[in-house]
Amino acid sequence: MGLFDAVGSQVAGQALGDATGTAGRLAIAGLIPGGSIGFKVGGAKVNINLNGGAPDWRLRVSLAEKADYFYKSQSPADRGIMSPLFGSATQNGVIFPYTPQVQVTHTASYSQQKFTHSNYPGYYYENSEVAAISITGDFTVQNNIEGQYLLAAITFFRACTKMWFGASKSRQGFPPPMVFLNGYGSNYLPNVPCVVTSFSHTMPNDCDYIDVPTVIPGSVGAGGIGGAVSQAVGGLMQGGGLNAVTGALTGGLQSVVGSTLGPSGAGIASLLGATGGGSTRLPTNSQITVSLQPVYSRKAVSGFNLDDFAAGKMIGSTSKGGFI
Amino acid sequence: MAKYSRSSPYYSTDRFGKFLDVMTDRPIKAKSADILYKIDKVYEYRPDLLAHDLYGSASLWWVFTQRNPDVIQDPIFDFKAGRNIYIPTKDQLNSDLGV
Repeated sequence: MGLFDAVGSQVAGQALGDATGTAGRLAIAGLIPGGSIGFKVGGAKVNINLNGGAPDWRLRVSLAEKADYFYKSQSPADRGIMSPLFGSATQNGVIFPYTPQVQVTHTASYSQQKFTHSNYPGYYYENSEVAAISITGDFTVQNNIEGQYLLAAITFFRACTKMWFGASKSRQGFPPPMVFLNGYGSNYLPNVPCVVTSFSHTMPNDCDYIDVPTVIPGSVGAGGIGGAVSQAVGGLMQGGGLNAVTGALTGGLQSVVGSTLGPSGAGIASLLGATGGGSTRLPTNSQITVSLQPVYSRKAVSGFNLDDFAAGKMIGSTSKGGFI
Repeated sequence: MAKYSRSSPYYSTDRFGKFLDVMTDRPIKAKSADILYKIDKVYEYRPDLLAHDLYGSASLWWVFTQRNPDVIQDPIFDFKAGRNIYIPTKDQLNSDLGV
C-alpha cells in the first residue's frame, strides 16, 4: 500500500465510522449495493407490500365496508394524508407490515359467595367478555412511501379515538368510528367489530429520522397505494430527493414538479396529483400499540348461539358476526 | 517503495524512486449496464461514502471521477447533489481495475 492509499484509508475509515447507515442511505438514494445490472434508476425497495396474496392473512384494521369517511371518502382530496390506506376491499386500512404481537383475552366472571361455616365458597356466574385486543407492531421507514404509509396509519388511529365534534359537517355528534379487525385467515380474527380504546406511537431516540414529504393526493388509482408504489418511488427518489419535493410543494407545485422531479417525477405528479405541502420527520424504526375493544350490537348479540359458536359456525366470515 | 494497490488511483502511475510521475488515469469503460444516477444530498461531496455503500470500499472514491470525466473534474467538490453521473457496476470495476 502506498503513502496516499494509507492516508486515504485512514481518513475514510474515520469518516465512515460504522457502516450501519449503509442500507438507509442507499434506500434514500434509491440504490442497491454493487450497482448490478438489475438495479433500477431511482428505485428503492419498499418493505410494505400492500399487494399481498389471497387469502391475505396479515393483520389489518379497517373501516366498515360501506364507510365513506377518512380514507374511504369519495373525494381523494378528503382522504388527504390517509390516502395510502385506500385500496381494494380486502387490502384497505392499516396493514401491519411486520407480524405484530397480538393479545386476545377471553374472561368469564364469577361472583364469590362465602358461606358461613363452610370450607369452600360458592361461585355464581355473572358474565363473559372479550377484553380489549392489544396489538403491538413495528413500522420501518426507509423511503418516502413507507413514511407516508406510517403517517397515514398514525393519523388513522388518532382519528379513530375522536368523535365528530364542533365544525364537523354531517356527522356532528357521532362517536368515534367502528373499525374491523382481520387477520390470520378466516377463523381467528374474522372481521371483528371493534372500537379503538387507546393508541400509542413511540418515537424512539436511538434511531435515524427521515424527512418525509407530505403528498396530498388528488387522485389515486383503484389499486390504491399498492399499485402506485413502484411508479411513485422511482419518481420521488430520482427527483433530487426531499428538498426538491419540499420546495415543489411550497412553491407552486405544477411548474416545479415537472422541472424538479425529473422524468419520473411527472409520473408521480399525475399519479398522486399532489396539492399539499410540508414534510414530517419520522423514525426509521418505531412501534405502534393499539387497543381494540370488540363491540357487538344488540341485534348481533341476540343472534348469538353458543352451540354454533362452539362448532365454529359463527366464525369464518363477515356475515356471521365476527364473534370471537 | 511500496506498490499502490489495485484499488488506488495511482496504481498505474509510474514511479521514480520515491516520486510519482504525472498521474496516469485508470479509465473505466462505459457500459450499457451503467446506471445514470442523480447525486442525492446524502452523498454530496462524499464519493467515498457512495463507494463504500455500493462497493464495500471507500478507497474506490475516485472511480466516479474516472467514469464521468465530463461531469466531475474535482472528485470531491464537483460531487454535488443534483448532478447526473454514471455509476459503474462492481463487475465492471472487477473487469477494468481488477478489484
